[in-house]
Amino acid sequence: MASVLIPVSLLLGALLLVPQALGEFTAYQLGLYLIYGIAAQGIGFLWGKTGILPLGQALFFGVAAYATGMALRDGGGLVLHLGLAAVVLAAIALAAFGLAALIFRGRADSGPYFSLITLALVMIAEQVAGTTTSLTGGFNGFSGYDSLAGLDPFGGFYYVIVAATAAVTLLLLTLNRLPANLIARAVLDNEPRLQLLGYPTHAIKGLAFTVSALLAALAGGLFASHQGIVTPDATGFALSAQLVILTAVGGRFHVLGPLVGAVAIGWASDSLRDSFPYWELLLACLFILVVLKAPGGLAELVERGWRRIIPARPAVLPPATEAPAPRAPQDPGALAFEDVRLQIGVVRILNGVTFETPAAGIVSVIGPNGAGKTSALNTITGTLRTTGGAIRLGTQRIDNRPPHKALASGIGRKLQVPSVFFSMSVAENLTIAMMAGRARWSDVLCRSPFGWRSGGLTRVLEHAAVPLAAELSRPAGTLPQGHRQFLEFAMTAAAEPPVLLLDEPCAGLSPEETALMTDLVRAYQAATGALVIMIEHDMSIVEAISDRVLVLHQGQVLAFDSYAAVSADPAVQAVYAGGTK
Amino acid sequence: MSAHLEIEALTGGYHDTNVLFDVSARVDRGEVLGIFGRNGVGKTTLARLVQGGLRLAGGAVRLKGREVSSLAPWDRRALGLGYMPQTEMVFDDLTVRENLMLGENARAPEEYFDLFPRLAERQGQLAGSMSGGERKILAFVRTMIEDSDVLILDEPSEGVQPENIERMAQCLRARAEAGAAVVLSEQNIGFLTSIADHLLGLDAGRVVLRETAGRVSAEEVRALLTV
Repeated sequence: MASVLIPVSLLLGALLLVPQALGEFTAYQLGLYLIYGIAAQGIGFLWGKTGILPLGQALFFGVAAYATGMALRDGGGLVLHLGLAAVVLAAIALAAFGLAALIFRGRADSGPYFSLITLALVMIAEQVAGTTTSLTGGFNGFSGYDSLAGLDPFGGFYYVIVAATAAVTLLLLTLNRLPANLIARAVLDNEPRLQLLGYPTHAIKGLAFTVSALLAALAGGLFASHQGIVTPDATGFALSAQLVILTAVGGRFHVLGPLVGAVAIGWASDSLRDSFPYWELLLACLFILVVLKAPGGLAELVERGWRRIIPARPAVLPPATEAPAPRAPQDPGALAFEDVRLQIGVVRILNGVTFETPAAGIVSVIGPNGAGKTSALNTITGTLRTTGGAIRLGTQRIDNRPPHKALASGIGRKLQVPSVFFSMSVAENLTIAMMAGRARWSDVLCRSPFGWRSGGLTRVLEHAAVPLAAELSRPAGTLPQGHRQFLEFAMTAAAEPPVLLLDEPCAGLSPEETALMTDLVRAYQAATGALVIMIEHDMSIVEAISDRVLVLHQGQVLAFDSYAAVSADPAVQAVYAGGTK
Repeated sequence: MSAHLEIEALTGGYHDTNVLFDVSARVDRGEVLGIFGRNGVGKTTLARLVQGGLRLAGGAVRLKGREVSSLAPWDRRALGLGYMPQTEMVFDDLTVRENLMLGENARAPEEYFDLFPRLAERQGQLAGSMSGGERKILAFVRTMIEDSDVLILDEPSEGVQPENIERMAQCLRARAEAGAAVVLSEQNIGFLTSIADHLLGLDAGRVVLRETAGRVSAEEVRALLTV
């Protein structure tokens, strides 16, 4: 907790000294920079964690500013004003979440469209604010109201801004220590993997955007009271762009970065505005320089220097505890394909695939490259939409559901090319996987999931030959390919799905590592009684591990029987000889 | 006479962390050098240091006698170095045909369509919608048609069905017989020992075995790959 309280206390102490040390006018100017800084902190939260760049934050800033001005002009006490603020903030939260969820639902790559849509919305808002003169005062602005609680913008109101800044910083620093932070970062790192772990990424992006919108709105409300006038500029693109620049220059990956950017650029602009006519050009050059040379902004440069003096200490994690039980049904039943067809463009990938697995055991899927093996698994998870037929797991129909719902149906998936969260440590990868299918929304705001362990994870981690226990603090992106295979298997096994889909888990492994992976798969099946469906080319593994073997060829089932029967089948021999490493 | 590829006391890795130390090797024209070792010992790092994707911390790489250690990957490619990476090896949003049209290729892709007929059938399909094994084959053929003097292949058989692995071996033998120097990094020891003239075993970033292929059996190589 000291990592949160110390910086907030230092910040608070320094800001509280300003009026006495530097005078009320400086405090007034600093108050405005901090207001922009709060809005920029919201952008940093969204952009730095999820990678989504909002280009229209002034929409929420301006709406809240106008609403505050109107409420203050209409009179009423502080309680009424706070009540109105709650209503406005709730409306903004709802609008922001709805907008983001709508744009991101069903498409993981909507980021650029989202940025452009927010840009369009803020341009519309500025136009509306400028033309609805009876409501907003038009281009002359909305004014003639008192400041909040009658506090003087050159006096007491500064302390309100400082309190808001400290509260927002405390909130964001606290969030950084919680699993919610990992999940938000995971969206940027590897969204498809996060979806297959059961996380609804469109809702996560929606929530992150909501937080950023609420911070912009808070800043807008403070701005109206601080400035005594709201003009269409407060809802405009220029302010939106300025907030992005403050965030980028200050550092979008750090909570304090946007504040630093707002204060540094605000102070520099005010100092240069009268003496240097090209100060905006200078600002633009600074922005370009930061983007090119220091993408982490001033905060990252400061932190890098600081870490040379005081190295980062590893976080103290809560003790290991038994994880809550998975929410998915533990005995979902057999998996059945009924005349499943899949066509992409003119290419027919699955041509009426029909089979039914047992409810438990290991089913190997073999067949030539391009037979439709990976595509068949992709239709089970909803990653590919079928063009005909049905897929059932027990009594539930599961085809064409979004990938993030697969785990809730009991289906875990390991991909062909190991898919992990590359910028995160092995331990962070495992924490995200450990929460998959188990955590409630409230759990992501507690630290206890950092200590969660399931039998599925423990069996992998504590196996003497698995190379992960010694690599927990290592970034997953620096692991060799084979170790990534073990990490992704551990992540999939951690959720303990009753149906485990493994796509060539032994690819890129040495013969000994292959034997180890095979042991882990067998152990998982034996401990959980799961149905394991595994694509494999190595026939010695297929023979050793399989209860049944499914042979696919040209998108159809060629055989589905025991290994002995399938390997003796002349039709199978004609298309697929198989081999060993 | 200088070898097609000379690696001299190579040291390097990622950022400030070296994972490969003092590795030397020489591959003459017509030779296949097989590289093996457990995961994480530095095989991919070695391939990327030679190809130019990673900067050397020490040592030198010479291509047909010319020092290329400070050259960019595209300059090494222009000097006759072909490279098939382990991952990210095709352009997912381009069709199979478009993938095969990129770059200056000395051979026509059709020369390989008899061996890999699936590529001929799927020419109009986006590479990203193909299976993992098919993408590997596409990347392999892409590398073959460049007709490079020196070829570096990082786990080309991963995810590929055995019949197609045998066809890959056939292509590599043909390239070596035509005078290319081939460096093949593989976990599939059967594939590796079937075509390698020399073997280089790595462990913890260092060379632990250097032997002519016929003098060491596949079983002995596997014995060195203890987890």
